[in-house]
Amino acid sequence: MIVAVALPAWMCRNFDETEDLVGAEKGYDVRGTIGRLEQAKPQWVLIGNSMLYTRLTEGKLTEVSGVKSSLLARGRSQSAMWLLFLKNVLLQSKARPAVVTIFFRDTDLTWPDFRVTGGNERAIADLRGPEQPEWVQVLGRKDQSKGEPLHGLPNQASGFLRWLFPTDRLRAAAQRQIQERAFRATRVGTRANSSVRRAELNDRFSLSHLRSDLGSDAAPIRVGWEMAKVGAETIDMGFYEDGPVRFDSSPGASFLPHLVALAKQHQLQLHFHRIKRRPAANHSRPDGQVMTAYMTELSAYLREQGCLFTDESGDPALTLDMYVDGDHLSSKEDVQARYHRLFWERVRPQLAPHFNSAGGNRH
Amino acid sequence: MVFQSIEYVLFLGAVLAVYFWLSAKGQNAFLVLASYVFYGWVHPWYVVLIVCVTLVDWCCAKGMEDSTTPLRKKAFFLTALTVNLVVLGAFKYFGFFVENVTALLSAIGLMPSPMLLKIALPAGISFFTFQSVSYAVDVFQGRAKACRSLVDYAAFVCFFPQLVAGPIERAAHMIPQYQKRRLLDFDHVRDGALQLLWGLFQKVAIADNAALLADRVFSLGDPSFPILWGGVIAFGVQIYADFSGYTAMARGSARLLGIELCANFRHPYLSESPPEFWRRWHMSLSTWFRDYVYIPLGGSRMGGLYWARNLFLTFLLSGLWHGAEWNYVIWGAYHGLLVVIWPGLASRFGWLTPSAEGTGSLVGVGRILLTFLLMNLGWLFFREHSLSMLLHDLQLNPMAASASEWRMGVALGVEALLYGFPLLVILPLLDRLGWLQSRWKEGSASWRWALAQGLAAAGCIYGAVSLRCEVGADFIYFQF
Repeated sequence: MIVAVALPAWMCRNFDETEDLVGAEKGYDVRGTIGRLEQAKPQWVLIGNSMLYTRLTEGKLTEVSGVKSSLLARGRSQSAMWLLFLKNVLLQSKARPAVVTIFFRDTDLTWPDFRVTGGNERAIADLRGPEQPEWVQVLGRKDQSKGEPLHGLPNQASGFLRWLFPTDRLRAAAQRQIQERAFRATRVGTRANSSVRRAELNDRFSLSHLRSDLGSDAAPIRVGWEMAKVGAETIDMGFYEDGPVRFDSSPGASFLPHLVALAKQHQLQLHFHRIKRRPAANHSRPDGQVMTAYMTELSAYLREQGCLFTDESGDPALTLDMYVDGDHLSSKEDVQARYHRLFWERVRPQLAPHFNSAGGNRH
Repeated sequence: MVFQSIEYVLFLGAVLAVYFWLSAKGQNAFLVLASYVFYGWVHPWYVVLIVCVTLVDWCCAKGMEDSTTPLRKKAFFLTALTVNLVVLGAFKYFGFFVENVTALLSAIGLMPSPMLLKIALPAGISFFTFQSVSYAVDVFQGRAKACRSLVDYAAFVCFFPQLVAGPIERAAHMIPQYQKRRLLDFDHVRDGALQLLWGLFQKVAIADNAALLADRVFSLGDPSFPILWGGVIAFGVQIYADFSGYTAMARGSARLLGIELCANFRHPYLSESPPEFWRRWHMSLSTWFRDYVYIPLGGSRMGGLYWARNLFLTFLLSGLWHGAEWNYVIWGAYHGLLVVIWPGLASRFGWLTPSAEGTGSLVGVGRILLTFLLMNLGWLFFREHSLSMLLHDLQLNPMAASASEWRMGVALGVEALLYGFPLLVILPLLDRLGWLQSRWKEGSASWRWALAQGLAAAGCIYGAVSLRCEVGADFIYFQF
């Protein structure tokens, strides 16, 4: 027993740390964000994940639309976190925008337990107050909040293990060494060093070589080399394809009814915008029968609840060359300018009256 | 709940803390309760399903044994069989059936409305229904006695270490173990803990790292021949380490509880022929199909063509058991074809037949390599779910790939094999040297055995923490 525990711990502690390759989970600065919103006093707040922040920027959107805009966006966030952005950030601030837009992809809005654990756990914990009845109603016991004993215990235990075996750097270096050995074993006919070989391999596995039916918004994971990111995204995409197939508007099924109710209670105009996922080579990505049925029900529900709804998924002007990886758009100036213009043209007919009535500054 | 989580460690610790204080009956009842908590951890409704299946099978088996007429006995047997197969069919194959019928009707011009039915597949359903079917058949044929205690029977069906991904156990092996009280035994604890750690190492250090390589390759839209094969070899390492790791953790957990589970693997990648591979790979499933499908179909009794048909059908069904997708059917058919034609090939080419010169000879190594390649071709069918991509993959020309592509592909394969080195090379070597034999446990050598176990455990912990993949995935066999 002593050998089994002490020996690895000693070896890990004696490891010469040469590289810091592993990223850490980040929390969320709730106070700072509230302060930023109060200072900016936006007329338009947009909530979402990387689907949002790879498409729109505050400055450019304000410039194109003439409406002072702010983004509340976080990579890999999902409906559970969007509710918290609305409830515990926007509504806790003095900012009262004329419109709140939620950027979503396909079935995001009715998939409550997608991404509530993993990389965003700390941020979710920071965003949550002590009492969140919607969470209990929607997620039930799957909601592993800080206050519940079974959640804290594994975290404490894994914290202790991390202290006992400080292994993150050791792991990254060990994996790199194995890769180096694989490179050395296959250096026939090349004088390229490992860095060049690694770059070559990264390029071969870059997202432009992915199958066209795969799309993802996975935030980069900083492990030893870029290829790991593709593996993570593949797994993520596998999960994404397993989303709900039926629209369900009951309050126990998703956070959507809670988002709607909260906005009504505070007289906020909600707007939902569905993005176009990465299209095929012919620039289109038609919905299947199941998704068409889902979207018909979703849009009917939103309109019935007084929410605005726009859908860019069938827009032929959003072409494949605008996408950089998965469902993300390129950050190139011309792509961004084009998307901002197309987006504003699409949403303007529905949103402009609300900005007008709120006294916004329009084009 | 997955084995490689802190939750499972705490859960197992809590179970062990209570378990050894109880009587035999108490231990079984507690195991059932713990197993239902384990199984319903994420989806509590799964428990309802397993309770229903357990009740039906237990009643039917009792009914079979108490029946006074053969007709009545058969009726009970058919009820048990039907319930198990309907449960399996409804959850696992209904979607596949509807999808294919819809596609067929669409192809002939009829446009049926799509059925919006997507049933979540309860984890391990194929394992516990197969275990239940074997029990019903054994009781019907008189090979096993019906279990009179519902609790003992429930413990046999839902025993948490092997509930989700096997090994598929037989009632004759398990139920007698439940009928006596299990005592805390330090040897069991030591062996069980080491097996758990070895399984953990296989999963997090080998399988997950190999998965990262395989997933990258199988997410490419334009793989070249060498890169594809680098990925296939990575998948071959992944699936072996993943499943063997799960089995080791299952057997280790069971051993801590004083229960022996059967072995599932015996160095399969050292097989010298496809038939031998199937005697070393997922042995509990292979023997299940042999006893409950191949032999009832007639086995080799009628010789020649019938033997070939029975063997082929058995492998076809084995493929379908793995999943309701066409690639699994193709995988099963491929292996069926291999084992059917192999004896003919071996008689035509004498060097294909393992002979007295043993594995150590150059020809023996050649046979191992050939079998390894053939098995990996099978893994391509298993891993590639898109039939159009599979067709594309099979048409790849090795001569069309550049030297750089070859270097990348071989590097991927070598990297995967380096991760798999402890499982593919060190373990068989230790086994061959006799270092895993129980004789080391006894007598004056027992302290050496304890030290060796301590060092092995330290190696597993060190390996698991230093090589643990950042991106962990579920066990592959959970989906079956």
